[in-house]
Amino acid sequence: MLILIALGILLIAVLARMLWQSKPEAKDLPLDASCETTPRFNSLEEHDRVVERIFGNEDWNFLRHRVPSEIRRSFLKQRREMAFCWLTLIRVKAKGAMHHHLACARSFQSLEPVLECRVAINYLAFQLSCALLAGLLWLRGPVALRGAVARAYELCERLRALTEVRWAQTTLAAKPRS
Amino acid sequence: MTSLPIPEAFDVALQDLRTRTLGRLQGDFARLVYLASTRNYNTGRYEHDGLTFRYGMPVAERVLVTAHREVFLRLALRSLEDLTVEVQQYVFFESDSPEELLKVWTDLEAYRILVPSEDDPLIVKIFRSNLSAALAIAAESWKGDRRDQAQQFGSRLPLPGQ
Repeated sequence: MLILIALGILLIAVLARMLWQSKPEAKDLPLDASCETTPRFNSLEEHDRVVERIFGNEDWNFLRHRVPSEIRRSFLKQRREMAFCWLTLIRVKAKGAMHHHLACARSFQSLEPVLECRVAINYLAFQLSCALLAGLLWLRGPVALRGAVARAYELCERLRALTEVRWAQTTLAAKPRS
Repeated sequence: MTSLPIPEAFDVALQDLRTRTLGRLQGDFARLVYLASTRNYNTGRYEHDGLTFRYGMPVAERVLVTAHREVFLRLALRSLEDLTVEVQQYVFFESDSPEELLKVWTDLEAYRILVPSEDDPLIVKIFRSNLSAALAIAAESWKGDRRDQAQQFGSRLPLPGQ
């Protein structure tokens, strides 16, 4: 019983510390907190390099011994904000693909249960992966989370590919036969 | 003014800008500062007399937009270490007073005007965050160098009683 109470107090202390750390500080590096959901990447390579910058540990390893602690804290905070922006971006992308898929599925006469199940399972796996990633981001920040990020992105891309199958079928069915 | 059709004139003008103007500048950061300075702050349009004279205003403007975006992306997605080297090169070699430049850039956030207007917001955030970190690193390194110099100078002075 005492151990549980101690654990509870410890958890509250950890949460309070996290909240205190997330307060804006006067010496924070300036950054716009707004998050746009329409990416303007020119290529997949550009996107990969963005992910590398946000979630890789190269920049952090270079910075950590060279600047005072308030700059380090501010840098990590900005990286976390960017990471959440990226997460919002792929969530919006997956949601868009799902909406499109549902709209197509409603207008389609013969549904394929196997495909629908695969889409649903994939969407669930993607959502779980995003939730896990958000939890990890909140707890320990984005540095060195490339593995989890790659998994979430892979799931998002797979979902998009699956929903495109339905879209292609709808387009083909809608075409008048010559 | 050249009589080439616009697509060809664009390629020639871009090459011209890269080799004649940007090629002479030391490093991508200096190129970015130069290209951002060709944008009119009131209208947001790019202006370059030489290019306009040779290729006409529409081509000159498109060329400057393209070059600005190219250099910006090259720098924005580079590692913090590489960006810091670029910034240090600019600050310590292009300026007579690095300390003042670092202070002004940090306090006034002058680097905000270096960003092209039509770029991905996430890339812009990465650039601004990395650049302010690079400026902080450059400032620390400048302070460190000054301390070392002061110590060296101090060690050459005769000790009291000598």
